[in-house]
Amino acid sequence: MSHGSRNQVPNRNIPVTAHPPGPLRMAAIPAAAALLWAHPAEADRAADSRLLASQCAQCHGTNGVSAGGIDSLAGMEYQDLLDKMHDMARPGETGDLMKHQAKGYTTRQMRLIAEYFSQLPKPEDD
Amino acid sequence: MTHPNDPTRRDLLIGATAGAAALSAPARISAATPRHVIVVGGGFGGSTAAKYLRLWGEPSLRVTIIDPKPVHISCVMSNLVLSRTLSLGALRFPHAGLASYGVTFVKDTVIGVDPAAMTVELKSGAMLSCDKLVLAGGISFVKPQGWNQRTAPHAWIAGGQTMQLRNMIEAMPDHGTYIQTIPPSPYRCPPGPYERACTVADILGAKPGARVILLDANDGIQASKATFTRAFNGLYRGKIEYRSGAELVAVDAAAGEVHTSLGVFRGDVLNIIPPHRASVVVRRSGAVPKGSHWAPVDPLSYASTVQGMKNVHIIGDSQGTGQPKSGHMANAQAKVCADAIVRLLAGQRVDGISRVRSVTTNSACYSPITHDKAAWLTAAFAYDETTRQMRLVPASLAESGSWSRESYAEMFDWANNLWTDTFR
Ligand SMILES: Cc1cc2nc3c(=O)[nH]c(=O)nc-3n(C[C@H](O)[C@H](O)[C@H](O)COP(=O)(O)OP(=O)(O)OC[C@H]3O[C@@H](n4cnc5c(N)ncnc54)[C@H](O)[C@@H]3O)c2cc1C
Repeated sequence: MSHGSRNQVPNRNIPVTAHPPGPLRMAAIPAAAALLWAHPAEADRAADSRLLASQCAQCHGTNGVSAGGIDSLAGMEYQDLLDKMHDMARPGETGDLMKHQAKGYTTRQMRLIAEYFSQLPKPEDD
Repeated sequence: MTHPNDPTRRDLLIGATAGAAALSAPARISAATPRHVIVVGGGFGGSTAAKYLRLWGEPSLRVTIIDPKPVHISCVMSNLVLSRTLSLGALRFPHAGLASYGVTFVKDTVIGVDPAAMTVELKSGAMLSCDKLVLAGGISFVKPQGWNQRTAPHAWIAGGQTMQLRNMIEAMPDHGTYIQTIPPSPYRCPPGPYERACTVADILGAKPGARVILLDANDGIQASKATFTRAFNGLYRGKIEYRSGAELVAVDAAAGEVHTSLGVFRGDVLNIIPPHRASVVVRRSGAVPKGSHWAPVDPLSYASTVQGMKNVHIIGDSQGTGQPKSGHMANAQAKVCADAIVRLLAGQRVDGISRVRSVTTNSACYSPITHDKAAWLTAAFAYDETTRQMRLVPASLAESGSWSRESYAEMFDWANNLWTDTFR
């Protein structure tokens, strides 16, 4: 089994006393810090998208960085990811695990998931 | 060192010197005191919860995992140890794997929980206190009459039991009979027992005349029904005899007998998977009401709904939401729970409309059917605002219905990502 990208999980090596700057912020925002966002609704949106997206990690890796085999989602284009989810969720699309899994989500949920992963950096070995 | 996530030295000291009484006294956390979450059990649910609490919580949030074993042995993929496809070593995940996130590990057994004082008592005699408690102890068994796990292993908690069963299968004589029982639902890993029967039948292919008798307490196959029906009636016809409605009554391993509601069955190897209930630590905490086997929780936070236990969260196989009991699902629930705890500690609600509509869980599972082909099963769940329960999204539920080499290869990629998201 490949452990190739283990050390590239974006927030794996964050020092525990500080949050990383820049693009990793999304992955690491604590809810309290989210309160400081310009608009509370925006903070909620960030936290909700993080929660939804975390449910992809069982197969696609923590923060969308796959340990191998399955596609990474981190750094995908928003529209590309949303289109892919929509396509798989279409009623006629069957026979593949993800085509069924995709049917479990509303359009709003798909948008939030796409928002989250599109704001993360692409893994280095991708 | 005054690292905020250093071992719970202060608590250990209190526990050792002043004893339990002093702890319940209000040495209460001031706003400046770092908050502490204790996670009991470092399996699929507990490890994920601890990791995501550190990823998502305030940097000062202290997270401690308590588990009697320094290494968790994954049940996921453990049927492949029976066929020597994997060694048990490949399924070992040290709790120290989460140290890089700042999770503290304490090797001990929790023997008591006080939900009012928010303390846990350890076998070593120490007491630890916390603001939130997550219980993820897995399962325990309802012992059938006459059953001893040494002579009739369950191998349903991976480790020594898995090796014991593997040795017994390998020592089974030609023309021998392997008997496996399936507990009433809900039990850990709905497709797991059927997957095991297929794996064992494949191994026994090398032994002339050897066969599997599968005694199911339920009135039919509980998961991936089309796939397993096909396997039992086709590929393994004459090799696996499947009997539904066979309730386990008693076991007599010396005589090789399994007593059921359908009569007595005799075999050379008895793989008894007894009825399940919540883990001992969850039952002792008071989170399982009388007459029930599982802990009722609010699926927005996995907080206990038992009165006086709102700061105790139960995730994974021990909780009673009716979602499938799987490692993938325990991981999914752990994230909802971690998110809820982070919000609750920050004084926020967990039942705002936009969060409620963002609470989902899912399960995906690959089952080996032969030594080089596997099948898959998947389902997604969403929070139902009317019933306030998790609801299966019908269109998302699907099984492969057949098995393939491609799925067998995908199974390893899936497991590797699940393990990594959980334990590393
Ligand atoms: C043969 C088999 C195959 C399976 N295959 C799959 C699969 O393909 N996919 C899938 O998703 N699931 C699968 N599962 C199911 C999966 O293993 C469980 O659903 C999952 O482990 C449940 O997670 P949990 O956190 O509730 O419990 P566990 O992962 O069992 O963890 C419980 C932990 O709690 C600890 N503990 C218990 N009591 C105490 C205490 N008093 N104090 C401190 N610590 C304690 C234990 O040592 C253990 O480490 C399979 C199970 C089996 C048996």
